[in-house]
Amino acid sequence: MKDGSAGGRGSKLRLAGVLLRNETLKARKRPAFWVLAGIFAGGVALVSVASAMILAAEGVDVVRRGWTAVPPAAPTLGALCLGLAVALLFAAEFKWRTARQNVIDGLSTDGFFAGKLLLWALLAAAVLALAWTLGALAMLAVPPPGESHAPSLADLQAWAGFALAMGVWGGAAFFLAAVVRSGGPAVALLLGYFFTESIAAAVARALAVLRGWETGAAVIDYLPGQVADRLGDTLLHYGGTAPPEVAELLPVSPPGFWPLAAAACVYAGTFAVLAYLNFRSRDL
Amino acid sequence: MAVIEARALSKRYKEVLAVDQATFDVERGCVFGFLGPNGSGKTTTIGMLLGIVRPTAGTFRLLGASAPADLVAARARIGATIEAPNFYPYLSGRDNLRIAANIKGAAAARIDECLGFVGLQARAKHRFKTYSLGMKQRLALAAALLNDPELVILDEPANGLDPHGMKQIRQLIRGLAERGKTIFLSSHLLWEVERTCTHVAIIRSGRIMTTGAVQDIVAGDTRVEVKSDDLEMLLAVMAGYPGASDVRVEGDAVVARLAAGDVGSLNGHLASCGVHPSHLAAKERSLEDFFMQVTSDGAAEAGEVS
Repeated sequence: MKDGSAGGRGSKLRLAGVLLRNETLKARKRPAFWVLAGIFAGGVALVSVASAMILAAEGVDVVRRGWTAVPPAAPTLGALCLGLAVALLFAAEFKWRTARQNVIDGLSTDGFFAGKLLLWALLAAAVLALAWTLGALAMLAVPPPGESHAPSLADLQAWAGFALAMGVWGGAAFFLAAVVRSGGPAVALLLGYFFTESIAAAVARALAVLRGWETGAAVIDYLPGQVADRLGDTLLHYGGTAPPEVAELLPVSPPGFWPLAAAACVYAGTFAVLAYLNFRSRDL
Repeated sequence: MAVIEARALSKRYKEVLAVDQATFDVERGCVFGFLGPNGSGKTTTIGMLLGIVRPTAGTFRLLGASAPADLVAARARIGATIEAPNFYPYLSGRDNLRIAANIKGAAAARIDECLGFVGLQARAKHRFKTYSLGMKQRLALAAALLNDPELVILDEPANGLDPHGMKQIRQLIRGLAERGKTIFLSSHLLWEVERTCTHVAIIRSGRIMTTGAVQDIVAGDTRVEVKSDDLEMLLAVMAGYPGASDVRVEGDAVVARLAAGDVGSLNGHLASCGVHPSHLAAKERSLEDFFMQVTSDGAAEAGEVS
């Protein structure tokens, strides 16, 4: 992307500062942002405390398992809340015609778009930070029977998977917001796709097992929602086996972390590029 | 020097030609009224100047800039609002101005100055969505002034306002003009424009029909109404007068257009032809008369009306 406002590193840094100040101001004063943050924090805290208590009761080293690990439910809930926040915060700029006013006030159209990409990144960083804080606090709520340890490779991979899952859902929301230009329909389409893909994948996997349809099953594993879902799954990063009732819904021979990470990057990048092309082709 | 130079600017939306080769200049220091009926292409033209609508054809210069990158920099030196005031409804008036000030690179102190100028300091902490329409329009004007702009572009700033609100906006615009700002004002409220503007352009169905100084337009023509006992003879004599045009009977009078200052000569002509009018009244052409003449369905093509 070109920034048409002015050349030079100084002007780009100034632009980045302007975008950072404006996007944080707009987000932190939007009630919908705090509602979603509350849903995410409440959900993760509840599941984390419950999980920590179960682990503690079973004599598992909760501090070691806790402060470096991705809290249970955080990837799914985080990716969903991030997607909703991105869709609502981005699409509203068109509904209220503030996108055009930002450009009239002196932002280039590319500058405006860059601000929305920054918003996506900031929200993802906030979700990760909040998830880590909540996970660590949940562990502290339970008496620690063990010592703290440095993050393992599996921990880092789990956090990366979490971030990539947000890349996929955030990207889908970003694309829908840019194309639909209205928060309600964008959210409806995002949630509609989320549930439709989940149901379709479960049905397709069942058919694949029954009829030996392996190629079809492999394709399903790389649908956007399935990629994000697997990247947020602790089984992918820490190993272990799923309960039998859950295992029926999982891939027969699931792809590993790196193919999924590559697919997530392709999805996030494609969504962003398509959103940009659509944004540039239309008047504000 | 012209601060806006539009040359054959056009915008097509599929089958609809919204703006058709618009050409006009806005000179520095003037208050320029951009007039046209609803749907005539005013907002689309302004949108092209402000970078939110891409022209289908034509060029323009804004504060001397024409290249895309230079235009972005030039827009940072203007203050503008288009259609309804566009702000974040959940943010306060002050926070909305803070966002605009960040983009424009205006100092934080300017926010209070501009709020004071439009008389909104007392409501600055309240959310935008709680503002009346007049307050929203004034906040839009405050936002446009944050960077102490050389050029202020206002699209229908008095739209939807009550007479009191209109007066407030008119006074604010006059205040800006007295400070030497160039103001580009689109409106269909003709008496507002006539009271406020020094120059006008009239657009109809996407085409610029005429452009010029308000003084010249208003002074350029006089409408005269004459009554006499013998209406047929009066009509014939007036139709034969070289300085009269558009001569016709309206009720019990003959009306015609005269060149400015020609009423005395007409009176002499009538007397020399043996017509003694019982009533002769001259009315200076108002901007509204001219606008109706230019934008009526049977109006002459662009350039023919002056």
